Amino acid sequence: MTLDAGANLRKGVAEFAVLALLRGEPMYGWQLSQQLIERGGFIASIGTLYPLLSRLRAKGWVSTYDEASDSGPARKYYRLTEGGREALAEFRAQWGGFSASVDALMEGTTNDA
Amino acid sequence: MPDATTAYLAELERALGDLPRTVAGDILDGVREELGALDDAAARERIAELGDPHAIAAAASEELPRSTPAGMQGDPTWYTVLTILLVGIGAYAVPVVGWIVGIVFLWNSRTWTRRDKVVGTVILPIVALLALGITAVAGLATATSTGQLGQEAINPLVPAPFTFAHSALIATAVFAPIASAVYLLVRARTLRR
Repeated sequence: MTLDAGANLRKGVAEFAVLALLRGEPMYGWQLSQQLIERGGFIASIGTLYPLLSRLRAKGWVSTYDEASDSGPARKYYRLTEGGREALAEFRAQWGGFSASVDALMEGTTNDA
Repeated sequence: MPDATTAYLAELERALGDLPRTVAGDILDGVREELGALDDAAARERIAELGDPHAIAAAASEELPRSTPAGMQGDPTWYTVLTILLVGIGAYAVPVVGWIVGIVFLWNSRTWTRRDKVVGTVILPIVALLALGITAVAGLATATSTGQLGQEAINPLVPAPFTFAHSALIATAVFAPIASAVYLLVRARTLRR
């Protein structure tokens, strides 16, 4: 399937967008999906979200727990693990340099300037 | 549970039918947990936001290749090579059993598709059956024409049926395993790309 450049970029960072959202507080699926869509279209729909979450769990970057809700069934909350925090820190460390390199390339400047 | 919710969940479950059970289960649980707390009006609104179940299924299936852990993508190269060697020449090391071990390796591999495995497996039996059939027909034809049924193999002048039986054996023992191995090699190279 062909994706435009923007969609590819967002897809590439979607995992870390989830980690960043969970940094402050645990969230449940719908909350995450709303935030990811509203704050930049990081996912297409919840169809994208759950496979992504299960990948993050497999990597040990997030864990889950159930919490009773005021109305309706218990909700599954996703929480950042220590490993997830480290992965996010690593991503942040790389992102600054990477985005600067991309900017430089796109503006046509060279490193030895 | 409002009717709209029940209907949407059923439709979503059908749409997710082709996806691995764990993925489909995660999505269904997530949606069920979200819609479960809502009354009819609120549920309808949320369902409109969630969108077409088929679009959800399509988005999920697009995510899937990347959801496979790296180690699950294929076999280590040595396993693929060993499988091809066993299928191709395993029978020379240990007659018959070598080939069978190769086929067991083949079916346990993750390198090839199911179709490749079937093709790789049936080439030898099909060649063997064809060879047997041709030999039988040729033998029968010669025997009928010469009226010497049952004496062909003893003839030192090597009549046609013996040649056919000989070719059939060679085709089955040499050509078929090598053909399977070449096929598997070509497919493995294509699939790994």
